[in-house]
Amino acid sequence: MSSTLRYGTAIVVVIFAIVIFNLVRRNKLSMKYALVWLATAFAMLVAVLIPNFLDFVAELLGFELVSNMLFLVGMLVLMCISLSLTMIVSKQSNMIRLLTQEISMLKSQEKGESKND
Amino acid sequence: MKSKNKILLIIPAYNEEESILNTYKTVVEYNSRHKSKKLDIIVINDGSCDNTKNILEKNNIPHINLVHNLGIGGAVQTGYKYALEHNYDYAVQFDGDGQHDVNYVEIILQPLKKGQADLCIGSRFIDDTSDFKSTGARRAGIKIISFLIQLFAHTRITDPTSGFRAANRKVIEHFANSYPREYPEPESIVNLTRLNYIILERPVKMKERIGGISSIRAWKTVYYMINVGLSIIVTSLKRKGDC
Repeated sequence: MSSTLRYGTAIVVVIFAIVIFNLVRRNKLSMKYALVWLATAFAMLVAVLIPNFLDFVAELLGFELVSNMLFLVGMLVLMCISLSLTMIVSKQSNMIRLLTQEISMLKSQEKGESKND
Repeated sequence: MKSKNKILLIIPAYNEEESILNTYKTVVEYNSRHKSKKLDIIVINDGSCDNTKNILEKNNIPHINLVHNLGIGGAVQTGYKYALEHNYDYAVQFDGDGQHDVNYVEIILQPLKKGQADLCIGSRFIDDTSDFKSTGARRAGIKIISFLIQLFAHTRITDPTSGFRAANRKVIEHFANSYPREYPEPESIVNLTRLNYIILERPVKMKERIGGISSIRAWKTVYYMINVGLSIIVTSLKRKGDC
């Protein structure tokens, strides 16, 4: 990997991390979920800043091309993140269902609509 | 009078403006004939976008308006929560679209009152009580679901998708806490069996729907089957401690 490419990538990763921090600062992203992205950014930064690190790992693991390894790792990481997102969505929709039921029952009770005599 | 059982009809309604009033009237008429076995009603209006809400209000039908659409599972569960909160002894799920016949409520309640079952399902397929038995494709689907339940939960249920079901206090408590969301009937059968509740069926008569559209539309059948099949398998694999 040429050093231009390495430093270029590093700058992109740093910008990415700054964006994440900014989102947290403006309450658009909670720290709990930002950590995953920050950890990813940190790992990428380490990987591109140590010279020949990626080539070394790729050869060690038997990849013919560094890019093949990057695509595989990237895809796995994204799959894990989206799986955890669908888990979060399921949990939240359960919570929303519970809230909907409780608030609807309270409202109807207050108006006397649900009364059986 | 002897200690009287409180019975609640849970009627989920999603866009049932054409049939909900008729359903209500048949229950009122039933109550006037059976003074000692009065059935209370709660209609769960599942965020209908038609006139259902106005009809419920205008006719003083006891109801709960869900603030947004939850789907059949969430709506029926609201009914069970209401039953639990108001100390009902029995709760009967009853469709608002005119498919079910209120005269059969007592028949599916019998096994519960005698302590023979915790949940009793009104079935179209036990004998020839019901001349209407759904369309061919759907009947085949029901057969497959029934087979899967037998395979994975070891109970024989002839009409696993029937929404005409009576629950005793134990099952009301269970359903109020945990009820499947999307295609609740078959999955809840597997779950109750797993937790050692007793389920029986009784023959009932069902009619064709008066109005509205069934929640199981034809083009969704394949998706429905895959979903229900998987949920039966997954539910049967749950551990003892899971609810």
